[in-house]
Amino acid sequence: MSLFGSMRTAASGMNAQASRLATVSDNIANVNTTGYKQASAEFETMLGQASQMEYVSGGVLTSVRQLTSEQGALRGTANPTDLAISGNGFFVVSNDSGANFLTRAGSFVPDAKGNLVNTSGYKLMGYPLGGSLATGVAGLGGTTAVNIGQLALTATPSSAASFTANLPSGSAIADPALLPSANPDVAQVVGKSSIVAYDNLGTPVTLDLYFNKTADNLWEVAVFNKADAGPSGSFPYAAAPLATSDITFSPDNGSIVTGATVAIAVPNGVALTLDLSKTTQLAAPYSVIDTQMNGNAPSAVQKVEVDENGVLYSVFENGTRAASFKIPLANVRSPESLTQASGNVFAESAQSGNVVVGDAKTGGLGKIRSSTLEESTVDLAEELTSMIESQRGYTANSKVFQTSADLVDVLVNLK
Amino acid sequence: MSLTAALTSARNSLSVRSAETDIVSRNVAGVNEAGYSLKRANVAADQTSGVRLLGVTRATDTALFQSMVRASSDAAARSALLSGVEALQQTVDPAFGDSTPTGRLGALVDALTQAAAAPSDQSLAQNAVDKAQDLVRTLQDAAATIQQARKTADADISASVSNINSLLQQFQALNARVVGNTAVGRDATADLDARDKVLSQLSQEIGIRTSVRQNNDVQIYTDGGGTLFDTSMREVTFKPTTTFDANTIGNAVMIDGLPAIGPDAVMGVKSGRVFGLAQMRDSIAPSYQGQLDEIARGLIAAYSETNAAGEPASAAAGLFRDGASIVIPADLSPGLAARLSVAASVDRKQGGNSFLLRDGGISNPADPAYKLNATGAASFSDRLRALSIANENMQAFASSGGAITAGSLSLYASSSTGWIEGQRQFASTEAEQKSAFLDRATQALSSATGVSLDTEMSKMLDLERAYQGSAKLISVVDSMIQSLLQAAG
Repeated sequence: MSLFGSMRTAASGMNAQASRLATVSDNIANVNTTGYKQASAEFETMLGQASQMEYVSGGVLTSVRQLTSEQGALRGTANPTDLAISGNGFFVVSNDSGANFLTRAGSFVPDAKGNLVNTSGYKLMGYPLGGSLATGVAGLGGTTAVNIGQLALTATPSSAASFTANLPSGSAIADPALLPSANPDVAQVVGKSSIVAYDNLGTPVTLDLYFNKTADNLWEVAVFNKADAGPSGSFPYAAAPLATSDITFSPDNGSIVTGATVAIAVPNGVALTLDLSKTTQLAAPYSVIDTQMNGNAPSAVQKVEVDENGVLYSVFENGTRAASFKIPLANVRSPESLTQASGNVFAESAQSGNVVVGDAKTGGLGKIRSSTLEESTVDLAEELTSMIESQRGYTANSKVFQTSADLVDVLVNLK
Repeated sequence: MSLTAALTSARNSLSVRSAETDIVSRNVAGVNEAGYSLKRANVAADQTSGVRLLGVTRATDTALFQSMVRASSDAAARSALLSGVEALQQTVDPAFGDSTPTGRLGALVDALTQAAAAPSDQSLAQNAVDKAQDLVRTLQDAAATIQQARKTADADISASVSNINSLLQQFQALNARVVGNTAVGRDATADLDARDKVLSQLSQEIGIRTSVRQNNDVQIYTDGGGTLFDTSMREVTFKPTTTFDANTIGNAVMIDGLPAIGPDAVMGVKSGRVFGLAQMRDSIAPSYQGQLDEIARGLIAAYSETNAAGEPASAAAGLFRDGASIVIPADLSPGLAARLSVAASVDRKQGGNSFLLRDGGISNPADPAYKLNATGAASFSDRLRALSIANENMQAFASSGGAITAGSLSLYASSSTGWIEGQRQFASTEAEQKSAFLDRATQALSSATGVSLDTEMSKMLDLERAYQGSAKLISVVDSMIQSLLQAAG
């Protein structure tokens, strides 16, 4: 009975348009939801049993797709832990019961415990790095919640320093008895500088460096702890020099030949290697060109920063930074097949394939952008157009239904 | 490009333009502020968000800034030296004419010549003694002026050192802020300006060199190579001296445990106000003091006397004395100018006999061997005539400053005047040159890094147009969606 068939077809058409309208309404509702991926309704035909003589109408089947791998526009924010992915991949987040999910909604803020959580309350997962950068990323199992509350007050003892100066080549050769290394009451000084190192507890230790010429192209460097200095502020020191070392210079170009590094035992600190390799002996007055020293005094974390590779750095008050966490990205073969869950998160499903975790910017994964959020992929104009289309489609289907019903009415009234 | 993306771009554009307008308004506010440097927003086009603000930078020119810092150290050193030398030069200022040592010496010579013309006139002899007294006072005043100038310089050094310490403290705070803000990518430009200002103030006090490392962390060294600031400030200490005489040596300014300015300086500072003051205190003033001491010694020697037989061994101080002693100092005797006195035995005002000037025996009135006028004749004028030309006798002088080492007393006195006058002129020319150079360096820096109002105004117009464009875009997108909504309704 093809009239009833037409009515069923019209009903399936109305159902399909209602579904489409549902996706439109969801999309419009989430037009400003961070990390929202628009849904779209796709239709497929379902034919009835048609023959040469008669057309039997079929219907329409709806399948709803979430366009998960579509890139949303990026919007800048002021919060450095607002993260967005530019390219493929998802952040790995976990709920309170420890189940892992994937998301692109990266509006993370620290909660009361210091964990970075997004608006939906999911915790961001990452790998703790403990100061230095590890390469390669283990599976999803090794991840822990990224906690920026534990990053406070760290002191790092100095272990490497460099000192670049020019030693005047024309200096007189020093009297051995008055060399600073002998710690006399009054020493002959050609060049003196002081640099600040940090011990294990982060106490600043001022190191006095004395340079004296002992023979042609041969210099001696003596390192004293400023804390041992006599009442005059220098010699005699209460303790012997922390290090004494000879440096030879090339007579051809004044560059250093031997003795470019000095090992200094910082009191209550770690062994400090002082690099003098760029120091020269030229016919110019004593002048310091550059000093560098690692380590830092105890200082609180002023803020955290995330770079494109997903490394979360703690930035201390004194400007030093330490890599604390690595935020990995995850992806699946078929992102569109991920199961959607509330709170802008997706879960692995049988159709999506397994979750693969990797570093940002590697293996086809996108880069992480800090102070940025990914906007919803919904385009209002497109949704409104779809809505009008659906409306017209629905009206047309209902007209078909009504017409069929009218025809059936005519038929019934024949009798 | 969808409508929503267009909206996002327009919105980002609005926020970037407002940030830029904020910076333009800061620039306009700082247009006449010394040391304000031009700020610019770093804006980058972005595929996903349209436009992004990357940060704020300021116009800098390290080379010009360094040259300004050097010029300001040099100018400050010269101007400190000039004001010190001017204080010394007042003792020989031609404007005060007769009251200078050479003027007083001339007056003494005139009085002695007059007395020689009328040897019987005691009032003329006493007049010559009075003129000698005036000369002594003038020398004493000049010596006191010198030591006062040294004391002032010493006190100024002390003030300068405490200023250096307070500037270093300010620098430490600003530097920490700059490093912290630069490290976390916040706008550090205002602190950078303030830090540069502190540096330029510091450069007036002491010659400095700077170097920059990661995160805009600056180290300060003196121009002699000593460390003033590296991670933390080094102590700069100075013990002021309260009383100065010719033998006093002022203390050195200690920087990082070593004497950097003053006596026995190691890696000595070469410019800045402290350097100029120390040069005045330790070099110019003591040289001038040495010259006055030599004038005093020359006076004692020139007006000394021998016994009637003229035996060299019998030579003794006559009209002028080192205090009360009649010994003629053989060499430079520090502080002699302040100790110089006129023999009481020849000064009627002190109960002496001014005729001793005519008769000899000032050193030893009781010893008849020193009486040249054996008969006591009222017309004896040989001694007075000899005294009236004593200032032209050849003498040897110790080397001090740029004064001559051999010549007559008059010549020496005028060469000393010439020397201090020359010092003043040199200091004045140098100060003018250095200050002109500083003006030029400051001007060059300000035209390289300062704000040009014209540019800011045209920038503001650009921003206004861009803002209007973005706002228009938003309203266009809005009306497009509006028409869709009407179609749907």
